[in-house]
Amino acid sequence: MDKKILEDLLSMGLSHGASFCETFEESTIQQVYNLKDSKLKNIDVKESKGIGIRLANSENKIYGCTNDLDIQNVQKLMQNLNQKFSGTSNSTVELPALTENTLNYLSNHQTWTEEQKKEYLQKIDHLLRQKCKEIIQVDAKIIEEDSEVTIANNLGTYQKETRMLSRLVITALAKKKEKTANHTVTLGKREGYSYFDTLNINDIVDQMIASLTDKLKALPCPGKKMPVILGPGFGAVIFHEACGHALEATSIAPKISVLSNKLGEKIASEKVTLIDDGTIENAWGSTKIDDEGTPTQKNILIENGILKSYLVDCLNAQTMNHPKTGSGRRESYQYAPTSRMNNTYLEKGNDSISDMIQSISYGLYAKGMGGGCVEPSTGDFTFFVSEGYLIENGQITTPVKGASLIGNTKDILFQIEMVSDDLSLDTGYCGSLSGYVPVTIGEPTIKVSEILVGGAS
Amino acid sequence: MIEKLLAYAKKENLDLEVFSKRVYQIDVEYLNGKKNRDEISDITSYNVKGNIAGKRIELHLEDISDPVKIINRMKKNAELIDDAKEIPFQAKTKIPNVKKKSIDFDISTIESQLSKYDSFRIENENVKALTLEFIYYQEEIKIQNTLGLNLKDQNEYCNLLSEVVYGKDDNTENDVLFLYNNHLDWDEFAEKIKESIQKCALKQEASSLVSNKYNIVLKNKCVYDLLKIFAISFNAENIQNKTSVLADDFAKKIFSSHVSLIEDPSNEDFICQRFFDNEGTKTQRKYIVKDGIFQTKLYNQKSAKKDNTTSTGNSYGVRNLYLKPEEHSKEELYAAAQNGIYIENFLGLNSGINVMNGEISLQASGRIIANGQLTTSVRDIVLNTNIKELFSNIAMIGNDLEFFDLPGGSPSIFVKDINIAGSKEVKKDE
Repeated sequence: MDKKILEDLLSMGLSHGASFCETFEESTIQQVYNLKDSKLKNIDVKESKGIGIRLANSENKIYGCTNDLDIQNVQKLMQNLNQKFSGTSNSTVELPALTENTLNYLSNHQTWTEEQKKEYLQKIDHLLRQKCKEIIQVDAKIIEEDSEVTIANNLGTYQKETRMLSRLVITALAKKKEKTANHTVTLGKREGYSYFDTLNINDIVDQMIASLTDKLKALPCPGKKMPVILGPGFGAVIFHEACGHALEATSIAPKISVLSNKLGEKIASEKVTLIDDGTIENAWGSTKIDDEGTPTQKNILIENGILKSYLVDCLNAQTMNHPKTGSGRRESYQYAPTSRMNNTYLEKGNDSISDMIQSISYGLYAKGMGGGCVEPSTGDFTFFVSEGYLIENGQITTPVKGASLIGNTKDILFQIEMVSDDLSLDTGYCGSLSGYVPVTIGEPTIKVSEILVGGAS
Repeated sequence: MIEKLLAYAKKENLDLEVFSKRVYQIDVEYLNGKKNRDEISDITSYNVKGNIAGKRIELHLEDISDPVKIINRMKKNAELIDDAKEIPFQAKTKIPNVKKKSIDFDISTIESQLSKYDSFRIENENVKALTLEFIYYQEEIKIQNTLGLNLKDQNEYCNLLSEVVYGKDDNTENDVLFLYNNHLDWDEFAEKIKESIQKCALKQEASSLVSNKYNIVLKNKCVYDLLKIFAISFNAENIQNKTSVLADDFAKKIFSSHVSLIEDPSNEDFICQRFFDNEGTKTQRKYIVKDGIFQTKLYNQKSAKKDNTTSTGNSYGVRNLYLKPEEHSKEELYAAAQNGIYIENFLGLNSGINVMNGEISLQASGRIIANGQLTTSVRDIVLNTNIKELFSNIAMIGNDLEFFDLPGGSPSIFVKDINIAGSKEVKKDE
């Protein structure tokens, strides 16, 4: 929208007693190239374009969105939102010059032809099927997303950011006699097609086949409390779920999180230093500014077990009297922003992985984790182990399946007993109040002294 | 705009169909008596489908004001895609002309009504937080194509939700309730909040169990949660792609003889009654599973063409799917289980289920059943099974059929011998 139109719109938003008015314009194009049955089945094109408007004062906050961008319709939406406030004001908003932000992209989504994208997926399919005869289906996707957001508010924010995402998702399904197993690899970066040039497809395929082969042999996992080693990368879902969500202002501000009012207290083992950093160069969860126009930053959440900071968005910062942390995020203009994680990882430690394994007489090595979830108000969490192995007498032995890990935030953080130095980052989408946002999670290999493993044997 | 796009397609001698959906939504939430969320959204989206160069091409758009750009993009996709055979559009779908009920509400009344229930928190010092939420949803859908098809439909419904957070010191429990309807039953809402608080109080004393096989009674909502996720296993497309756990099971006995699964989108009692799916195919009442036998695969136009059959009107998946109830009360289910576990909540539905091989590993909580009666609360347990095992071991189905959301509902079930993992150690003398 033209700057003058935005200024008039923001002024209109302040005319009935709101002290804060914000517009969030967004346009996104997503294309998904999907190969299945060794054929390019579909190119799913999704385009969205709309505006979200937020008004607030100390008593009230309201959000509205529309994709009918006719100015009269947008003004009508603003009038509807205004009705929730009482009072009058003649404030006139004058926006500063527009600041344009972008990450340091090396390429874009035009540097590969459509044919190159198709050939890339065909190569993956071919390699998987050629190297493993048990594979009965390969579903490979390239996802490219380009978006542009413009955020303006009456407090002097007028920022634009161009954002880019590239993602590769490969699922292979294998069958041997009556047993079926599937394995999924997801990789992504805020970058154009040069990102795919950095990936070693042969290695990815070989690792997928090794995991599938073990999964086909897997026996039901025993169910009981035991020590668990969590592999690097996606194993960090345990921190994302068990404490990341509980540190978001969404549950901290109304004091309903298990970690409310705990700043400065010891909430975890001293092995735990947890960081959320929205500035990691071109990482999946990085942006220059968050979805409220605040610059992203590196936030030390827990340092050597002591709680140092929460994740705080612009409106909750006022309620909590806590600095903003560049964490106001949303899936799209259809969602009001709230505090969310960006790239969350556990700092490296100096314990050796072989010492970890040897210290366990009977336990589980969770090499790969599926998703998980948490109830921030109680701290109860659960995660699914997508690739697991038994540890017996200090050695990794049988592959096991059907395991999940369950526990509670206030216990698990103290049970992190050993942390190695093989930090690795993985990508995913996190779903919460403001929709699904891209997040990185990462950790080195860690040992949890005891946790309930749900299994079928 | 739709007319302009269709006119341009006709000029280009292309068959085109546009499915448009306008969703208007209001969401108001109170947290501890204070308004925490107040949102209005009005979004229109378009699914544009065309038969281009002998292939069926689709785009999902929010702006269709530039027909030339849209058709060019579809032509470009048609050049690349290998496997998307042309599917003829329908010129006509005969649907009944029914006037649907509308919800009459005044948003200002809703707000004062909702905030009133915060008294449950104020009157009980153990209720740490109480969230109360109202969501109103209205959808208008249209299907228009170059052959003259012009279908319209409209639905509206509302949800009332609450979350109780209950506890003493650091021992906190929560319970979420969800009422889905096309009328607002405030008395029922109040009753359910009271039940939630009682449930949380009971959970405070909960402990885990020793890992073992148990008889279980699964609450209707939990059965529905599983059905909703596994419904895609009946889709013909997933069966064709071999990504369904039921890929080799069509026409075979897959579940206990007690199990009949019915999908009935056009039923007049269904809140979101639909006479046609998103491709304009007439919907129909059907048995997907009858007496344990997998009887009907769910087709859209594309998967139907591949199997040389006709669409079953399931381009949107399932709507109003339910497990056929039997006549047994909950008490009869507990009595049949004798000693076991009543499971009333799952955590981790987004991650603990593998729809490709049917594995289920879900954190659960509920009550112990001892001598056919509900007794103490149980938590920190994990249900470990497989969808085929779980539904094959059903020995009895309750009469408490309840609908929870657009995909459908379920009664409670009694299931024999299911693995449950718990954190309690086996005592040496046991």
